[in-house]
Amino acid sequence: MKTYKLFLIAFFTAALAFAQQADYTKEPGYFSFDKLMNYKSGDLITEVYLEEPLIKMVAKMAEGEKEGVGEAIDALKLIRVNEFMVEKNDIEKIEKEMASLDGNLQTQKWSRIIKTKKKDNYANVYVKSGGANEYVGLLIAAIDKEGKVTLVNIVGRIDLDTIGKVSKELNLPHMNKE
Amino acid sequence: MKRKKSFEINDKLIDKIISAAYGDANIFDKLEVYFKARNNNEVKRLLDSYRATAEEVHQLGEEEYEDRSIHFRGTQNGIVEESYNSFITDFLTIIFSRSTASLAVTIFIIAAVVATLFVYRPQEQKYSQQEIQIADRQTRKALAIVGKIFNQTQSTLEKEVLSERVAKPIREGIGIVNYLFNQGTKQ
Repeated sequence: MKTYKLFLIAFFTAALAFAQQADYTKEPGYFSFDKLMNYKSGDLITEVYLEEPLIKMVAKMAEGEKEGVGEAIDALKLIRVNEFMVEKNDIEKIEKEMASLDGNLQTQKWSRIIKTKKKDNYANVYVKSGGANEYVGLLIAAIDKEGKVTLVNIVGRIDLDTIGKVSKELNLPHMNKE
Repeated sequence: MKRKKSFEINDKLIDKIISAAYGDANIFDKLEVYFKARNNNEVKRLLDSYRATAEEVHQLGEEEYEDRSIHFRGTQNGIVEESYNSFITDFLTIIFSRSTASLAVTIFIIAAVVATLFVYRPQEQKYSQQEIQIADRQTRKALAIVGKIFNQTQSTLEKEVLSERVAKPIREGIGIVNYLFNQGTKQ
């Protein structure tokens, strides 16, 4: 009886310990947007949050489309996109926040690969290296003149070349209007 | 003359005598040993002998040793080996010296393997076709947003940076050359 109880306790403890959902926040390529999200006014314009199991299903669908696309998507663990508006008064504040973030990211071994700042437009792209010629995280922080903030975080093994090609070839009409 | 009762002093009786001497025996054994000791000199002698030893044993106090002396232990061969006084060693000793703890750990490991194999499975079957299609659209949208930012930065580089900072000075330079060239041909 004692052994039986012990087995049940051990089983449920182990089941809980091992059946937990993956914690993406511990991934090296993960970045929390929370600080920047505080400036959000109104609803999110775009919210994408895709976890590994679903991404794998999408990758299967994409396998036949173009060489390397399925594989590139399959290697991803998390895709997060948040687009939202900020008040006009807050544009300058969030730009400052992004500038401060820029310093922090670089101390956390994120490498900035693109930095653009022209009139009322600000966009930074970072990658996190996971070893030789391999990236484990992609981060984009951008704001345009209307105050639309775009935050993207892709976690997983990132093939920049394929993702770059796929991104440019994707046909989303509303994207091209801008 | 009253004869003293004779009986065999066997191992069982000796165990009872030892227990009585050390004070571990139950009340019936104590009484049995007590009466037998009264009637039998050999039993009495044994009891007295064990009592004396027990007293000596009980008088032994705890002694403190330096950590260093605990770290080293001698083997039967006289070779001194170093034992590691680490947390892991202590932990393993606790686990394996107690059968319950050892059993619990074994069960936990088995349960972990079972749970991993049967409980934690990829959630592939959990998604409906519609959910996958939505995810597909969202993935494309996310990548399109990435592409848009890349395109914007590329166009900024080509149109503004290159034209303003490179092409303009080149144009001006060519203008100066043309001007000088024209001036030269006029003269």
